Amino acid sequence: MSLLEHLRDDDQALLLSLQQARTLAPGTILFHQGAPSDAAVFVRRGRLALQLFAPGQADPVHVHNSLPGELVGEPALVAGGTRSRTAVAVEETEIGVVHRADLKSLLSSFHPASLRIVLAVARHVAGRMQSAHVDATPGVPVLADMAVPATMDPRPFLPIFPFFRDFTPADIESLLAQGTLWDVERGTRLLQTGQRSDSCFLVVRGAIAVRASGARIALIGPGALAGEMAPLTGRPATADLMMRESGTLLHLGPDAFLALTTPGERVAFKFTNALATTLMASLARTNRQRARQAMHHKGAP
Amino acid sequence: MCRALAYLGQPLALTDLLHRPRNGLVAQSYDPKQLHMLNLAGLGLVAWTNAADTPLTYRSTTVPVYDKNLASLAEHVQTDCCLAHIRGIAYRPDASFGPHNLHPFQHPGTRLALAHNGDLAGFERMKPALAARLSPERVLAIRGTTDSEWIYATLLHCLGGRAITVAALGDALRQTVAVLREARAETGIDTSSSMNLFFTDGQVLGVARFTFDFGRYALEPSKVHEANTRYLSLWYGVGERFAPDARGRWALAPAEGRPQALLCASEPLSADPAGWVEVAEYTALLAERGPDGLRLQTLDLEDDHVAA
Repeated sequence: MSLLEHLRDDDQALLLSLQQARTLAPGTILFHQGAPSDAAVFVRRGRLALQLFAPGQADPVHVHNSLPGELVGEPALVAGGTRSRTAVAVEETEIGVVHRADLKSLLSSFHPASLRIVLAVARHVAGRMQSAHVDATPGVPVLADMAVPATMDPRPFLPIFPFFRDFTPADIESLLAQGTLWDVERGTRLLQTGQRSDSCFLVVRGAIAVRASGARIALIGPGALAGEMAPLTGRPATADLMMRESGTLLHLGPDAFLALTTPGERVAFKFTNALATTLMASLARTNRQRARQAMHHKGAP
Repeated sequence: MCRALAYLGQPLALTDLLHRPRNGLVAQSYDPKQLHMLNLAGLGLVAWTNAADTPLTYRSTTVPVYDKNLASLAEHVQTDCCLAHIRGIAYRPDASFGPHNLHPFQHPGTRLALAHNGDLAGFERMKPALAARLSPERVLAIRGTTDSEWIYATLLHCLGGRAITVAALGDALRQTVAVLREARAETGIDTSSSMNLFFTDGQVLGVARFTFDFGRYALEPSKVHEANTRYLSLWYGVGERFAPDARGRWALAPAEGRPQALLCASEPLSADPAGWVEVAEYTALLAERGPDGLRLQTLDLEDDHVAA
């Protein structure tokens, strides 16, 4: 599913109105893997080949051909970082470049469409990362049975974390008012593969391990979200969430998650943008893990 | 919070690791990309050259970017195994600054050298519990005041009289984690303590990416630093040799068969991380020379299998 399909018609039109047209000759490298990323590219005519250079391998792997109507490099709309692929024009290709700075301008003016666009990018990326199909299973752990109300005051610590970079003290109060703080012991299972969930956790202190097929695939520490993909995609969780180190979590239940991802209060714009940025970091981490797996196939550890 | 690198492979000039790459180790002293702390308390290195049995050793508290002796030396020395470290300490007059605290550590009578990137919380409090678990000669060999040198002494203690092999080092590393965990538990320390290690004897090289009680920062806001809330980074690359690619970016050129070179560093030496891979959390990577190239092995240091 294309990112644009996540958007209402008027939001699509707004996003596309930001694009700057450019024509690429055949063979032109639009961007290199590893280059700084600051814009997404809408393919209007022609074809872009996306290639992956795995560490330690001489030849690129062809990943995908982007055709007219597709948006390439959409994580750049939300967060900086580096390109995870090299993009090459296979034939004469007409593109529209949408710069993150233009979307940020809309976001900082609290334009409702900007939140929906950022949320659509988050949903799109979450859908790609959650591509494995998992059958839904019943049984929802009840947090109140596994945790106790938190003893620590998170207010002095939250501003330290990059997630809260754009939050004012009032935004933080608003967020805290919508969630519930719990102290959770190491080893507690917070979410089970196959479970449907419409809430998420923010790690205030301690750490959560994300496990799939018996292996740890991510470690989520202070100031980061966990479990946000299931409510974003509406699909069952594809991994378990386990408390790796005892600590304190802010649980954002269904009502809070919905309110924080819907245009309304100012904190929703900040939260949705921080959530999307977190997801882009997860995507980069996943890509690095794939690179490591590619090296494994070459005989490296 | 220190930065370090370890290299095992085809001979190259030291300056290819320290100065020439855009994010070489010396640049990381004043412009680290992945942790916002300057590393100005000095540079130390050990480098094996021309199959010599003992390494070249260099230590200086001069700010590395202004160290002309280092720049000149690095231009002329070729090495096939190197361990280098730049030290970052608290910005306070009472911080433990001085040549005696520069890494890598290499105690008399052993070939193994070690550098550490991280910080053991409450270390002064835990020191007696750790000392009680080490042999007296290991404790007496410690000259500096850092937690890092004690970690080194613990690793040597756990290695005992065994020859330095991948298997022996891996086993000693696991024991080291266990000994430190016991000492922390005995002292009641349960706050985040990072322990990224780089070690080599010139033939076998290892790194470990490990944090005790990750995420459990001290409950005093003034004591919480970025390094206590993030899992410290550790990257590696394998290939034929470390050299500039067609675009001028320093990278490990792909190897036809077995890798001939391994480069591990706190952060990639290139401006961007493409071509580098992160060592997984709670994991060690060990390498030794074989007849047709390097043999590499990963080691799980995790302790949450029961919980899983």
